[in-house]
Amino acid sequence: MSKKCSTSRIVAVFLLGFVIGQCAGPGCARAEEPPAVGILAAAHEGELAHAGILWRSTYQLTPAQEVTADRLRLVMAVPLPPEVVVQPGDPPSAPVYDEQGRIVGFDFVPVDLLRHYPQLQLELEQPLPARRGIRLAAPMVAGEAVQAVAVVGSEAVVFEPAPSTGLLRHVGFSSARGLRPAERRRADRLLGPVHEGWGKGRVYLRSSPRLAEAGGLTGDLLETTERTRPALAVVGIVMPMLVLGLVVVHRALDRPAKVERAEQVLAQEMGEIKRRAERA
Amino acid sequence: MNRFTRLLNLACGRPLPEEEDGRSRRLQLVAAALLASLVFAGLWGLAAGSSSPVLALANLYKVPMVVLVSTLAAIPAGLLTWKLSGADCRATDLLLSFATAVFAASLVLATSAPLVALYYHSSTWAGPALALGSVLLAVATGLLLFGRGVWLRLSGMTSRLRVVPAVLVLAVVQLACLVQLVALASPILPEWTLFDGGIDAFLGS
Repeated sequence: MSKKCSTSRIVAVFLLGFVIGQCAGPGCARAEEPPAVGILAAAHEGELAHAGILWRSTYQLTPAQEVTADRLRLVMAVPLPPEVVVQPGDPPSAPVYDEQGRIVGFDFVPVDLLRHYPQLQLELEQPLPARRGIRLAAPMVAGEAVQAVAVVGSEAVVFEPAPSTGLLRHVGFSSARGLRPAERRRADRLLGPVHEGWGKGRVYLRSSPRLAEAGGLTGDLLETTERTRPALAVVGIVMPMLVLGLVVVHRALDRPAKVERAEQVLAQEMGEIKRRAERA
Repeated sequence: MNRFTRLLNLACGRPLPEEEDGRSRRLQLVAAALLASLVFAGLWGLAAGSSSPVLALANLYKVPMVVLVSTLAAIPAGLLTWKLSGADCRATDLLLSFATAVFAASLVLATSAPLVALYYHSSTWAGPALALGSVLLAVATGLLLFGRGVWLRLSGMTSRLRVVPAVLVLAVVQLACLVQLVALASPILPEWTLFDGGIDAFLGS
């Protein structure tokens, strides 16, 4: 027992940095609530399954300093809906619910966090009844951490953020306005290879009032065929016009071609007559 | 039949008879070559999708569409390059060589169509391999004949090399369009191939 206590004290010295910096979320609203875990960057990989999305999140923790609390809270940027199922994981976490049954955070014991330092993993499952107008339940943290979100698992499916999210489209990814490329690259460096193999639909963002208002990242999961259908329709409509145009051109050129041919034959004949006359 | 033979002769690199070498006639042959290509491409599409009636019918429209739209999309870029490079040849000569190459390539597709259909119905793996092989063969034939056609049509000229950029642009733009149009029109073959994913699949692989 006394051995355990001394370990806790060591942990307390190491983990102070996890505390501050994240006090923007609801977790810090009341004094009795545990301090927030400090996060530098996070990657949320949502694997598309038959019935939903399995979210695997990796959080890069801030450098360890002293901490005195017996619990630390991972404060969510947006409350997760009640239907989300948290998977048992290591380190063990205790979901924190609000009055509506939504998950507003996850509590961790500092010793467990230290064991997994500098990264923390979380897994949860989001049921997906439809693929249009969905709200991704990626466990995004409150605060200034840059976070990458992507739905993977099927080459044919890409997550298209809704225009109301205000995300900027780049080549191969989308990002929140005001998020500098250097910040994005820093987050990628910090997270290491966790998001290697992600497709072209990744999104970089950080917690914001707009995100909280929207209740999360909204958009559509589109099949490749759904995305290309409008273009195919346009080409399909243009095609008969092109064929018709070719037929019209072919017909219209019939007479000029005959005239050209006649002129050419005439010119040849005249040349032949002139040559004969010269010889004679 | 006369026009078909004329186009075949052009594809073989033979020159047009002097009395038929007028501008209107050359343009008319360009249109005729492209229209004939549609028929040949449709035949191949029918054969490649013959394992499913719906796919076969869809291919009757989709494959000619891919061929025609990619060809026409390449022409503006090719003509611009021709003008900017100051090539001595006539634009209609370049277009005629291009169109006859497309005609010959689609003829390769059409001639391989019975074989493709037969193998699709009698083998699980040889059908798709043969279908893809026939496409690659057709593309290679088209490129070869296009280069040769332009070279032979300009045989009397001193600065033939100036037309090379236009030939390259026409070929590259058409192939680039072809890849994406195949992805748009996917599925053309019953199996998923690398071409179904377009440039994303190529770069992702």
